[in-house]
Amino acid sequence: MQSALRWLRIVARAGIVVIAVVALAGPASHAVSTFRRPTQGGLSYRAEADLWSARFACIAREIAEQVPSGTDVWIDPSSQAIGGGVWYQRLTETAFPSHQVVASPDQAQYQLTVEATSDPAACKGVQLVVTAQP
Amino acid sequence: MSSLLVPALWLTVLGFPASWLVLRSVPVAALVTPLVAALVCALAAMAAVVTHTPLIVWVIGLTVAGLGGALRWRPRVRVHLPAWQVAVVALFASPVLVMARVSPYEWDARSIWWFHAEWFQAGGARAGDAIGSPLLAWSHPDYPPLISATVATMWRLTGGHADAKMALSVSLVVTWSALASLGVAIVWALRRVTSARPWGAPVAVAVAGLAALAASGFAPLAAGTGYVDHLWSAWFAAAAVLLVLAPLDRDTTFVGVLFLAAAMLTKNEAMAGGLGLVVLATIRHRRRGRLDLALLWVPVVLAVSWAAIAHGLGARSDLMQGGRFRELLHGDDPVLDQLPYTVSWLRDLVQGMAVATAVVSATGALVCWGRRRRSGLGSDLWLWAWLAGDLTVLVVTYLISPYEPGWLLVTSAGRTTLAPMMVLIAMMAVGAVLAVVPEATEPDVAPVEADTAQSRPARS
Repeated sequence: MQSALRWLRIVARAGIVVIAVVALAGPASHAVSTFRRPTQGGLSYRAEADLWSARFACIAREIAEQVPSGTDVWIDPSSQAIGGGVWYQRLTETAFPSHQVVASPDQAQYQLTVEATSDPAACKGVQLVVTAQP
Repeated sequence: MSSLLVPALWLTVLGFPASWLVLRSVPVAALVTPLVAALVCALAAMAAVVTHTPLIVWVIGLTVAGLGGALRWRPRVRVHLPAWQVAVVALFASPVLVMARVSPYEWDARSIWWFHAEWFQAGGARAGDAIGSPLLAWSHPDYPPLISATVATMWRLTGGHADAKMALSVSLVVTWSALASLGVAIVWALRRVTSARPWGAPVAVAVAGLAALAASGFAPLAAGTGYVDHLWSAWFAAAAVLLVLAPLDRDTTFVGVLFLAAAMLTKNEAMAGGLGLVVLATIRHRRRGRLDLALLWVPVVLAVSWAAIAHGLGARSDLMQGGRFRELLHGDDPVLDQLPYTVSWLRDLVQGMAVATAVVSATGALVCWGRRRRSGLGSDLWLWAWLAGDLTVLVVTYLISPYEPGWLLVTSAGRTTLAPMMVLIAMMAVGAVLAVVPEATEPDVAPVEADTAQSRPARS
């Protein structure tokens, strides 16, 4: 009886170890493969990230060059340019803190928006449009 | 990868001296250095916003004050582990660092955490205006300041340029430290178990390292792209291990409280879960001194302080603005109809790990219960109770959310379930080490003592 109980314990402990190692090894190997070659929906994550990151950096440079620092800017929240609402938020982030983002065009000196373009000199398929407000 | 060196260096400058003075252990102090630096930055951000003063002044002031306090009162926290154990666990957690080569562009990272970092970098007054601005409400201005304040400080210390690559590097270094902290917390909690055999510690280190790596394997892209869910969840799970599983003593409690404070100052979801954990820990620690019990509530005080500051400035969470509390209370169909879908979605995410951990927990209770008690380890039931509460809160949060439920679950459920998943991983790791490392003299019958009886007397 004692011997059977002892064997039962050994089997139970072995079972715990096997379950734990299998359960931990699955996500661990998923982490390593994802970090080594990140993909999203089967596509290369890096290509997508590189494209958008380059666009954001380029638009930020354009704002710094084209819009005088310290001025009031308005960004149309309904702008449906490429990326939809993404650019409303991204322009707001980029304009802060060098510019004051205001709630209506009447209060603004400049209106900012982003449009799709095929101009190779623009920001990877998009360009900043700055309109001086009357 | 070289982009990681600059934030790592500055985090070390800010966090290591005070960590070492308190812990007097180079490896453990190095491990918690990013946490200590980030906590200093978070407290500095709160002070800067309240006083309308520059963040960096408070960062320097609090760092110097922390050093002065550590030198003056010389607190000693004995959480000492050999350097090789910390190093191996940290190595297991390190694959996430390769994501430093990826361009930073994720929405949460840019539109919440790094945008808030720009607010804090612009000074307390402008940060306060931004937090209360209805124009910026889409950026979740009520979210806690820990990672944003840390990024803002790194930007300020490196010239003031709001560089997204630097922000991602800061986030990665802190996330790596948090994942490694989870592994080290498991090794520390099991120290009485592993000391029984010479190969006990290597086994615990291997299992804990695997757990730290596995913790980054759920929604792994988020771990490496500037989201904060892995870092707060890893700190949270480390706190859970130290506060309700590890043998009771003040040193372990102190480090657990540090982890929990960092988690609760990182993201709102940690606040509800943290409150639940503190209540459970208070029950487990009930026979200890008042000072120890008060210490447990420090993270709650800090989190509530931030919530009060943000609310006072006019920030409103999306749940406060458009939450469907009333509809839920009235049992309205549009809300309750979402229940099966929400439960099924969350169940699919958690079920596999939960069932495996339940088997390990139940089998472990049968074959290792006496061993667990003799080692001063708390019962897994504490964490099962926390999991039940946390998942219930999560389901209710999804039900009352103003957003379209399908979209919300698809975009967030993989991350909002990370804390429960990491707690399950921690339970699994503890159960595995208990099963594999036998006692030196395997007694089948031994006096069963309460948790509190196993604890080292608290120093007052």
